[in-house]
Amino acid sequence: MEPGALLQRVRAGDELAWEAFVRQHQGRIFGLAYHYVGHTEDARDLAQETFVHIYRNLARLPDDPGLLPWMLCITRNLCMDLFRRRRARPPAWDIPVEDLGHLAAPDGDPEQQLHDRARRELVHRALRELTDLNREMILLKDIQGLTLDEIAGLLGIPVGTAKSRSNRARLELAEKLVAMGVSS
Amino acid sequence: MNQSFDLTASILQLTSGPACGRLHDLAWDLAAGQLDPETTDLARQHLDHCAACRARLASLEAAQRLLPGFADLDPGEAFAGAVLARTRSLRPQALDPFLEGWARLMRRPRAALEAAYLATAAGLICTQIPVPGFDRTAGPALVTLIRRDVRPLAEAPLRQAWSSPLPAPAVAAAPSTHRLLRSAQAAWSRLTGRFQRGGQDLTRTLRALYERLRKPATEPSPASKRPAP
Repeated sequence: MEPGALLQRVRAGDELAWEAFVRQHQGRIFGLAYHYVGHTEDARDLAQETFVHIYRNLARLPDDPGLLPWMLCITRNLCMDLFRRRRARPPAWDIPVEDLGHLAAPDGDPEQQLHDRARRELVHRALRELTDLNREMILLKDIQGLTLDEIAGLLGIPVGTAKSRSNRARLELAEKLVAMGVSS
Repeated sequence: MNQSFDLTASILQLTSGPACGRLHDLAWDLAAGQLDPETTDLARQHLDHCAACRARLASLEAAQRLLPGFADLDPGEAFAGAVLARTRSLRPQALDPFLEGWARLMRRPRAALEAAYLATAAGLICTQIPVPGFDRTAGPALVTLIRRDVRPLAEAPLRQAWSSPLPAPAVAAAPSTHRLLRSAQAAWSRLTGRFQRGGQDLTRTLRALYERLRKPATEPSPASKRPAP
């Protein structure tokens, strides 16, 4: 089904369309929440809250180009609310590597899969070691694929600031990756 | 080849310094293939001779291939069911935006501070700032206003009931009606008296507190009162 037609049905209150919508976007929402809070259960709760918030505001559901940034903005705001309630961000992303089992694994031969898994864990560890600000930029720009304009709107900063922050974040990530010996 | 590289390196050392810093800045775009052809060509020439930059580029290429895979994570089989169970019971309500806005306002960390600030401001306005036309502060002015304008309005029905002749059906129950009206009037008098005394006490206390807080700054210290030897 065309994304526009699905959104129209969702706005009209079609329950089947809403279920399809949830299944279509749950991975992105959960993924962003997980990278913010660093815990699977918290991320599931936040992703649920995001969908409940979306459901309560179906009349304001934007059309497709702005839909993903809008949903990611809701998720981010809920994450920030959680941090504010807890008065601090989680300490240094204290997540065991075994907890990363749900990171998507591409198909391929077992040796390649093992190699990919090891590199994914290294990249994830490098992400965990970034500062909060730089990790957020990598999350929004290079993981979620938002444009600089969208990021600037979401964070409430000028586009130039978003660009320079993104460059700084990439440089820090590059340093971490080189130090960890990640290679292609 | 090695000799020529060493010569290049030594020349760069004496002139602009190694170009690794420049490549450092461009490495992400180079790995993503977003540089213009000329800059790409120059960067590739540098990479041919710099193992450290080659390693950096390889790391970034790996990261760029892997990072998009982190966007879409599987929340588990039961997730969609849990969301649908929660939203099934929800129907958009007219009051929801207001309730949500209020909840968000109350979740703000400064809400308690702002409430305390407003309460202090209201207290100061009521006890310290004279109201034009009353020649008193807002607190006593409010008490005067209630005594002068509001109480007569509230007492009027009672007075009327007290003074006017009772309707015929009530005549039969005159003694009990009489007792009821008297007790109602006594309760009203007690209530207004208490309110008045409470208002006066509060005003007196706040004024005394204000005077006590103001005194040390205006009065001379005991040491300065002592006569000079």
